[in-house]
Amino acid sequence: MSTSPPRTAGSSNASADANACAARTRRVLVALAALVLLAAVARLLVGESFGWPPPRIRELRVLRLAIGLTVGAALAVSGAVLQALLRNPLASPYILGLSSGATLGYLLAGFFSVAGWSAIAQFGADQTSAFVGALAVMLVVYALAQRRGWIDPIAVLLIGVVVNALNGAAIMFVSYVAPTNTRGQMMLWMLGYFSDFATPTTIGCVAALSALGIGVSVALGRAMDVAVFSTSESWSLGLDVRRLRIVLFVIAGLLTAGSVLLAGPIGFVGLVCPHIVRLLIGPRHRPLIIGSALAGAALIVAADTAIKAASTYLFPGASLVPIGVLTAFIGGPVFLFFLWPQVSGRREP
Amino acid sequence: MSGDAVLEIRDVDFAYVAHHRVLEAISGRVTPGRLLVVLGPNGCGKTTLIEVLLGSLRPDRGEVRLLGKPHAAWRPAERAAHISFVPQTSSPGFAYSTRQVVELGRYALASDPPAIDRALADVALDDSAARAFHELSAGQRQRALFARALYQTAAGGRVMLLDEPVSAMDLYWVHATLRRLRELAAGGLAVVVVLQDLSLAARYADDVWLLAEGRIVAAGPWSEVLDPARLSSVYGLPIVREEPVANAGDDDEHAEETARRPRFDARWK
Repeated sequence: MSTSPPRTAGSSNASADANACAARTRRVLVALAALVLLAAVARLLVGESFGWPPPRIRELRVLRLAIGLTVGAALAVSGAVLQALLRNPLASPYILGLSSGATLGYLLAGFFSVAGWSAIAQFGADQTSAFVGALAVMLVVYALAQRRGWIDPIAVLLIGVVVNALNGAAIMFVSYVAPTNTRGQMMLWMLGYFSDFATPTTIGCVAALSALGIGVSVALGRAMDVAVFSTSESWSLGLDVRRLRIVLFVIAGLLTAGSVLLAGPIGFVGLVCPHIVRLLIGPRHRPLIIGSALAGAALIVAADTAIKAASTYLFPGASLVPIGVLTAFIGGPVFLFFLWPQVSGRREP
Repeated sequence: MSGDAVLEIRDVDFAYVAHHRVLEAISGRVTPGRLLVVLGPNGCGKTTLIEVLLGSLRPDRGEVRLLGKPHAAWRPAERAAHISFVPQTSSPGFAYSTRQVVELGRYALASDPPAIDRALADVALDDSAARAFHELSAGQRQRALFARALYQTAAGGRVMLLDEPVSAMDLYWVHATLRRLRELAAGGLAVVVVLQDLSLAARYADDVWLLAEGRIVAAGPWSEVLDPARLSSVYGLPIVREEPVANAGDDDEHAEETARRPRFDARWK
């Protein structure tokens, strides 16, 4: 008899079109861009008085909007980049220990400053120390996780966990010895809070840096598609794995450090946004990075708008809830909502 | 040096951790138009050898040259035009479709969408192109990885390295894949493939490198290397050579030729 391949079960429709896929990607990206626009307009309208604000108020709201857009996009892209670098869908911007490093830098600046604890009491007065703390941790993790110049993803994860734990211990110690009246401010900062002290120049610099990081990430999208395979496979496909890992590490670090500088450590955005976008348009990194940036920006600006609206119209006089609390409250259920079909569809043997 | 060798490995030592050599004093040449099978017991260094040949692992001593140039002298994209690799398994961690996985075969080279379709059809996965790669069975994933290398090497590749590429495939695809590798070798490609099955090696190899404890204990044409006494010593159990029955062939020319080759079986005592 002649030979022919055995039949297999579960084949899907062959021409599951690349075209339909591309059209869906475009639709999702346009929808996300529309969401960003909607959230931005809402943010400009919401304030002590609802409506289009006069120039001075408008300037403040635009600055706050710029912080939200920058921080949201930077955190989400940082998460997507780290998930590719570490080949782990559960990686988030804080896995490198950057947020705890930033917090420690911020607290230590108060600890050692001439002004003493009053520097911290003046909330956000010296966010630069947080940036320096995040960068210092990034360098330490890099130095420990590289072998002959190669970044080992497993080593990054392990060292990130250890550095996080050590930073956590140091943070608890500094909090313990700090005067009681500063602890509330410290807690507020650690929950993620838009800095009222960020100048237009600072915001502009971080926004430019973030835009550069996001642009380079988009350009490296196809390389990231290769990098999620093993080192030997990536190498054989013509990728300069060693250089790419260093570039991705630096991009993720700078994006996270920049966002921490503007808003403290806001959780969940970097983990959730890439996941949701991946579920909507698939894992390819070029559209994923763009979609994550849009989703992150929309989420943070919407959360900030909701907080402002609630504290102005629903609970007048109440202090603003830290944005990190709200993103976790929104992000958790949304994450579960999107992932539930996958989780509930799994069968244990 | 090398004459017509596509890959040349010279006096290579390799260790993952200090003082524990996985490869020791490895030398050899990989020539175009030949199918070279690497054999040896578990843990003898076959996968490490493939990755050293590929250049993704850098030897502690000695060197590997691709087309006469050390691996370090190649730009990644240029190297990918000459050398392709099929791992035993692959887990990208994200839900790439089978087609997207194959498409990455020319990440660094000019893409050619019809060639992707041809590669998928060659391994009969054209119907599963849109399915997530990680949802395929282990054997189907190996076929997809082979398709990726076929797509890559169709752009003018000179050598293909495969690490146990058929270990999870059904009998049809084991033979279909190895026959395809023979065809590629006949077309001038240098093929290096790690196998576990001695009879498959005997049936399809031109040459064999037999590894034991990180060293090449025998290298040369399959008929010389596959000696029952030597194999018995390397694998630690009696191995016998069985000649095929005289009229086992069919009307296919190649099948007749390979059907005359011996099989190897274990006699467990």
